[in-house]
Amino acid sequence: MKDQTFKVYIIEDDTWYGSMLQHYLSLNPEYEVKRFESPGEFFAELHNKPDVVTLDYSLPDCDGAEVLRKIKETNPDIRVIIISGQEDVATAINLLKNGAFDYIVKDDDTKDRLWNSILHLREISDLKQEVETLKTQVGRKYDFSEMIIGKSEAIKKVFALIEKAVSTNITVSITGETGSGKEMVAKAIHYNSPRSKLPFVTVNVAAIPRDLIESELFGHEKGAFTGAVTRRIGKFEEADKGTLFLDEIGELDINLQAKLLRVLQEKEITRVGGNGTVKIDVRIIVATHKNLMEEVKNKNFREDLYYRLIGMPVNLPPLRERDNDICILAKHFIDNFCKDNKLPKKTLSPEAQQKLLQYSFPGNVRELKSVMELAVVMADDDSISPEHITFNTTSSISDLLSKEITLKAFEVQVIQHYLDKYNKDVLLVAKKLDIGKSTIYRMVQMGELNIK
Amino acid sequence: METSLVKSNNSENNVLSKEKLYSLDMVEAVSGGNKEFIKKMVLLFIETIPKDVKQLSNSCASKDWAQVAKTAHKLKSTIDSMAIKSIKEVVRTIESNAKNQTSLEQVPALCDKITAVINECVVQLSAEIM
Repeated sequence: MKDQTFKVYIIEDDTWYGSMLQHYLSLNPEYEVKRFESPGEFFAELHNKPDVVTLDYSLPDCDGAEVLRKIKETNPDIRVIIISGQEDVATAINLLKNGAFDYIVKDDDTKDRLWNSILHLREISDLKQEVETLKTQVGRKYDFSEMIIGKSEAIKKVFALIEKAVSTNITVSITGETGSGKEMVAKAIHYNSPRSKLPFVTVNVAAIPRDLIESELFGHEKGAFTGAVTRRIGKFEEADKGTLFLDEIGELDINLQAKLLRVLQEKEITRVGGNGTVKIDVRIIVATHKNLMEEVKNKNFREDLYYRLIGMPVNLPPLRERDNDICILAKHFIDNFCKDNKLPKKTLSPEAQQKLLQYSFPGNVRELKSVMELAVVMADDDSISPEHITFNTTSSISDLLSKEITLKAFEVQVIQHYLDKYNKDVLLVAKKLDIGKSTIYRMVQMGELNIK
Repeated sequence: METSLVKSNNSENNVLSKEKLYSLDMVEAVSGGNKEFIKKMVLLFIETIPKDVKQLSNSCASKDWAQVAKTAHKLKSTIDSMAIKSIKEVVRTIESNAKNQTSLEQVPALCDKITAVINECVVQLSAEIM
């Protein structure tokens, strides 16, 4: 914001009238008003960058239009208000066309018109400033909807964290269940950061054989080991100036962890079998579904590397905690699949939505996608109903016990599981579990069980 | 609305009783209540305007119509601002005639009128601020 005084320069050869104008405008404490009796005097001070110049068009020995032109030439941002005794419309129009902000006729109302004109001018100036500020703000409101879809409270928290991550190079460690979207978060950060036009390189540490991981990350020189027929650039170098996403960082061999730590600290790598160092400038994002602190305690992960990588922790909520995002994502997958396979649009029936909402999705978003794609294929008409949705969970008892919930909740889950398995046959389930059928019916009435 | 900064008790009283040829309303409006400013503007008027009027007469006498037009134009703003009604139209006529070089024979008389009125204003104003 420029300094608060608004500079007004008056070019008026009539001393008396000029003094009047000057005093009047000076009544506004925000204005700094200077008066000049000739253009020459004025131009000498033009370098002070006045905000507004009021110009008497009929200055003696001077062409007002020429003065206007000269001012605009020097600094087009300076607003010029022409005050004149002329009442020639053609002249007025010409001056306005040539850049005059306003044209005011000298009469009884002149000083008020001038006052208002300057106020108007300032309003425009302020509005322009506001637009600039808003533009920057809008630019900053990142759109993550391309990568991550969701409106739930849980995912909004993640958005807030991502927003914080994009403006700096802070290391980000993403935790979350399998299929919950960790790579999406990493991409969202990269593509909204200043590094967006530079490489985004992914390494899935778990997917690479142990003996090849070092050369994968840091590259190797020719002949460094059997099979190394050429020099190879590692992922770190590939991601130079950009972002490197290390997925499943918990799987990294303990010996390599030391090397990684040194690379992160020194910001330079040594290729396998090489002697020299290569400087790199990489933004690191890591992800794991493991609990790294636990791994540190179990001596599987180096504590110093842990602290180096933790950076800004982002925890991705599992799909079951994202409320209606399940439906939003389901619809998204349906639409995409239909489009890709040139099928007519299909919709999700409310009952099908209910079924989805009640499921625990151990495979999270990845599982949802696969379920929805199958559902689209299974549905013959354009509405997907609950029977088209099949869940392929390998839910074993250990899965159940891995959660810590009340005995009642366990009860509900077990009974519901049986009901689902035996096609909602209450009598059969009651017999199998050796409980009264009225017990089940009561729970259905209470809304704890679902027999639809 | 009468605006007297200082009510004088001496013989200048009879000047005040004559109707003012001008009005300080606008100056007051501009002043924002600053009495010093009003006084300053009055003094400025007394100091500068007679000079301009002199120039008007001189250029009229020497038939420098371009200069007459310019000076008349310059005086216009002040005459309007001081609401010197009697010569508002007069000064405009002078400017227009001199510029277009029409009815030039009327101009000297009009210039004399301006001189007379302004002189009277000066007297009245001087009395007002003493």
